[in-house]
Amino acid sequence: MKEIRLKIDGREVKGKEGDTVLDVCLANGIEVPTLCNLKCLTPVGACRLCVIEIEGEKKLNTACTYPAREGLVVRTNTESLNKYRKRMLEFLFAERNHYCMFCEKSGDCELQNLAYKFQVYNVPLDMLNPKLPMDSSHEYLTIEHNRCVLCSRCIRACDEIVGLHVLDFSKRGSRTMVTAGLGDPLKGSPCIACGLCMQVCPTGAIFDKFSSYKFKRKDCEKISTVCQECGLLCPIDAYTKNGNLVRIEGSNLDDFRVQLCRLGRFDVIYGKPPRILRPMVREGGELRERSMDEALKLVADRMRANFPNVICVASAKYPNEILELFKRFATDVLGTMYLDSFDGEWSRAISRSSQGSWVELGHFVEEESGYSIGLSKAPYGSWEDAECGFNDIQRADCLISVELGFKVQNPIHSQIRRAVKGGAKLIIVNPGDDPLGEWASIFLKPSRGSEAILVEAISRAARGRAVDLEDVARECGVAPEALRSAVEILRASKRCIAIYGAGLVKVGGSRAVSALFEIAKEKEMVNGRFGIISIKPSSNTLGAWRLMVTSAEGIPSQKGKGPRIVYALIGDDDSIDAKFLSNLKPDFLVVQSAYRSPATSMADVVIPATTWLERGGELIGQDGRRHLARKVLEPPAGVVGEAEVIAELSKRMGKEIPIPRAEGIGVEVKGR
Amino acid sequence: MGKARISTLWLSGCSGCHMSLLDLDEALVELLSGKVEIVKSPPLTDVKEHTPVDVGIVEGAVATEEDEEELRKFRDNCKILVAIGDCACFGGITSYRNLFDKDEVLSRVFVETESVVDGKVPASRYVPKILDKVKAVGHIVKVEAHIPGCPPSPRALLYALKELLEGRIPILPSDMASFE
Repeated sequence: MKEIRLKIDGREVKGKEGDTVLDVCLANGIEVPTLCNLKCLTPVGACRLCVIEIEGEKKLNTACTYPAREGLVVRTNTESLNKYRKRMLEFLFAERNHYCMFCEKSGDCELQNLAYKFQVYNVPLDMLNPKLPMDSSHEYLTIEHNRCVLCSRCIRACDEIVGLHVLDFSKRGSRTMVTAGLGDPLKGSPCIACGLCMQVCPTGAIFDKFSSYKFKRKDCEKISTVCQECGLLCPIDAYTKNGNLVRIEGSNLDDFRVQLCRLGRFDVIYGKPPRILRPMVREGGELRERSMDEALKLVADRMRANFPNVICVASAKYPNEILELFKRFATDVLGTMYLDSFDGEWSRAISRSSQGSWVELGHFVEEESGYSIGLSKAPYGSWEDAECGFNDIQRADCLISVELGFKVQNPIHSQIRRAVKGGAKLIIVNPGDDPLGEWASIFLKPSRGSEAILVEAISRAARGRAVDLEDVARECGVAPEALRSAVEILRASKRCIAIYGAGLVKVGGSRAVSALFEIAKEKEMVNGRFGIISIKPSSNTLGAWRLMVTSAEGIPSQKGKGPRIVYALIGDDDSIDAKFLSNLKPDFLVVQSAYRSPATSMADVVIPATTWLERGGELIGQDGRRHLARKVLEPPAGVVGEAEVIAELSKRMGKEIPIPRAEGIGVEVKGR
Repeated sequence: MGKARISTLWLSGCSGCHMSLLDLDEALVELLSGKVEIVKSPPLTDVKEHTPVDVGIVEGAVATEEDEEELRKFRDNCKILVAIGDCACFGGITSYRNLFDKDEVLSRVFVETESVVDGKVPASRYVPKILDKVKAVGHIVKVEAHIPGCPPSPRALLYALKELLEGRIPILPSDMASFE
């Protein structure tokens, strides 16, 4: 980009063409007060605090919206500007109720900090004292309109990042209000409870019920880590106070994942069921609490009596360190061949698909190539930056979303919505309701179980193969016109991305995945590009595959001689299908779990486990890159870390294996 | 040089700001033993009349007719008026009732409160009437200096007093200010 030179406060500084004056100031360490500005949002100049003088202009301009250009002479810090700024703050204080001593935000408030800076120690204007409501209808969020400065950060974040635009202004002038939906209480609005509005609010106008009055940055310890609710691994700052978790915020404003979702931002704090705190052993059909010593003795005895007839299955939510230890326990201590992860079915289907043969699973990307899923190593290259990742969604002209399968709406939904707002066509294939349904150009709702047939037919038709679309439409229970339009859109698109969730893999297996990949291969040759993003089922699906914890063959269902012992390491994974365990036909089932679940009610021995907040380690995320997670909380009393439990079990089995250090040891991921 | 004569006034506030003044501890002893004479101050004296002083220090917001009258008399009798605390500077906690109408507030307090039986709003002429809206001191009279805080820290108050003794109008540095 072209370099420009300008003069700010007497200093010669450099900027880039396209910068605003504020951008140039910040890049050159020139401090300009701002309130409504946030670097990830479109500047609007609402608060007028960044007013500047520009030589040759009669009026004041806002630095955040004024385009920098060659030769501009700017003053940012004159007595008269600071007088205006102070007066702007006085206006804000006069307009609504900004008394700090009964505000939740006091101490962390941007308005308060500015008032200190400009020494606003009284308000020489008549106070308006408007009667404003407070909206606490929402499960987590409260909007306290009395504290609002109408900066529109929440509105812009909800529109530009989340793509929902639930919030906007209503009314005019001093009566302007931030409004949800069409003036609904927030609870009845289309809000997805991601909480980004709260994070960007500079004052105490939007806060969450749990952390209000508890959360002051200066009293909290901040731990930067990644959220492990899903494979997105959103970067988060977890704030703890006296060992308790009080607040989670997205840590990188420049990353679309700053949005987080209700699972990662709120549910980990508010909504978790009671923990399993003591080991339990089944006696007379009932699970009874027993000491760790008794429980481990029983497990070790049964394992010793039956090995190598022991099956070890781990959740792919665990970090590499624990999975590696689990693998060593299975292979070195138990000598079993039967090791798998709960993501086995998914991983095997992908590895057998032609996507898997083109891009070896687990080696999706070069470590340093950034956001990238699936296609970076494909022989035909890819788009401008040789990547097909979540950021590429914004550059697609057509998106096919096949049963994403997330429990709540998260930043991926937002990326898709934003692309649709930018003109992309969205084709949804989902036998159930889809949260993005109203954003779709074509919503194909096949009967359950037929989505793979539909995807294969679309693939063939898009590649110009002979398909009787009428027939397929009838078989899948979708409208023939809709199916025809979907194929037409796909054929016409220059840049299409298909995003599919675990549901398609479950129903269609490797064939359905291959069908998508065949389009990718041919589309490249014909008239455009086609990218694929697979939604991995767990936060460390790829790690489990690469460490060879996930079995390439699966576990045979026919039993050998003698009783079968199954050791299931579940932790806090709430997506475990208990059927997976019952299909293994265990005669003795050991479950290590943080919560009660159908799996624990089948178990003969239950051992407490940690949650992701209570362990650190390395994970290979949705993007194919390594992420380091840090331990945020100590496990509750009674809960022993998985590494210690496995080490203790090994000892009792007569073999000692070294425990990896808690976090960040960077297990060498060898194997696949 | 004679001692600086100081009076303090306690309007609708909680006395926290006066407590913060007493919290000056040994600095207060030092001030009183040489440089300052307290003429009239609610925690120390029971003087009804206002007498001319150099510096008047006022705590609390203006919530009643009595507050307003007292404040005006006080202002007339001091050369420099210093508002201390969030109530005097901004309205503070006292002004929380500005979110409601006067009648709503009176009725809620004297009639609707759960523990009240057959309550009625006091109408005696000996009870000062409350104003429609609570106001900051600066909204009624001219104020030379504002020291916010709830309460202002003894450090901030000492800074203000020292500045005054040096003959300057105190402007609290940003790092000493607190609205909490």
